[in-house]
Amino acid sequence: MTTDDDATLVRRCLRGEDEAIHLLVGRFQTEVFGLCVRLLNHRHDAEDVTQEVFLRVFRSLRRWDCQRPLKPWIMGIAVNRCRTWLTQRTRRPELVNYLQDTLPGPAADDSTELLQEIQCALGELRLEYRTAFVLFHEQGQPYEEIAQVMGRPVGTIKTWLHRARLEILERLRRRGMVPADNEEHPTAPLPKNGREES
Amino acid sequence: MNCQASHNLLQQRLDGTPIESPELLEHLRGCADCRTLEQATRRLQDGLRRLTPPLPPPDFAARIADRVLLDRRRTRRRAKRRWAVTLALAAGLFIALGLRLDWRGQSPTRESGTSEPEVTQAPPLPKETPVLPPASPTLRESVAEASEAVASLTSKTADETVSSTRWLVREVPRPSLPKVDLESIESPTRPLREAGQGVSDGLEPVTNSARRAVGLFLRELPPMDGEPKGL
Repeated sequence: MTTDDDATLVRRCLRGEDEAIHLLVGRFQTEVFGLCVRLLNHRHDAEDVTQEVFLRVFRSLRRWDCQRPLKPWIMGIAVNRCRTWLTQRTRRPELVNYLQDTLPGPAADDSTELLQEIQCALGELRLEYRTAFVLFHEQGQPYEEIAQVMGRPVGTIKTWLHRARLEILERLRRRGMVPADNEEHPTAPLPKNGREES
Repeated sequence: MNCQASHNLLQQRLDGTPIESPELLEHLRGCADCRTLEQATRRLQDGLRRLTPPLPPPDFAARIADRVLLDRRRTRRRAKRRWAVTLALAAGLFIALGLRLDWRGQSPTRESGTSEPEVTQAPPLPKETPVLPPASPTLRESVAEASEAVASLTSKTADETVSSTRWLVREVPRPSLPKVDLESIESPTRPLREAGQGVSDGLEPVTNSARRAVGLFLRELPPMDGEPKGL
């Protein structure tokens, strides 16, 4: 049963097989939940939104084009739901204690602090930059797949990702996470990438 | 190598492409900004290696699947109800339209006073069958169940429509028939009576002649004295 490809699994879901529904949720829940946590910065909100995402996925499963991969389609729904949720959310976003998931225990060096800084920098990014960064660096998706998820050209995704990296690198430097090397200009900002969105 | 080319190579490194460029090393030795950027890039790579995606709770998939199944059942029920209501409305509309057309068609006949208004009976509908929840909600079973529900609702709607139509027909005032002077109308039996009279008048001389002939014949007969002897 776990060897079903996406199209077969979707067909079984459309036939109303409960086991297929469990399989499909199990296959994509980690990626969807991970993306929702990173984009919303709130674990409980991410759980709610993940549930909503799968409800919408199953409601519109008949509209999925079986000639195209399933995962970008689902992740696209997740991105849209997160965007809507962030628009509707009126309370201030709370920082998620994601490090419990990512670090098994206290580290001897400053890696915990480094992770916190990366996460904070990620939370300050624009939603598009953050989405591209998480999909690329955390979920290992290629540019083409991210372009499908976000409905933008590959060039735009590359631009967004480069800018996201530069902003995070700048924050790491400002927060002293980078060993001081330039004694002559200690506060000089990192160079901006001048490329425009394609 | 300039700074822009150096930045591009560092971005490629973050993309996952290993960069071994002597020109880049040479540039980094001379450019403090790019050197800082390169060190920050190494730190970011180090942090990203340690960063693992947040994991969902252990029973999360089961919870989602249960909610999806519940939502599916709800959606299916709602769709069935919507279907049934739509079909019932359509059937009711169809019947009402049919009755109206029938009413129009009968109006001139009723005005002439030769026939009584008739109540149009709805076509025979399938009997109502109990709707049972399907054991396994396949598409075929769902369609069958929906059709049964529709038939049941249609039957009920038709019955209600017919009864309300009967009530309406009963309430409609009877058409006023034109007054006819019955005395001025000839009785349908008069011609027969006249014909019989004519026939009897025509046969009267014949019967009179026959009666006279019989009387003469009886008068001419010799009188009989007694009964024959020996009898």
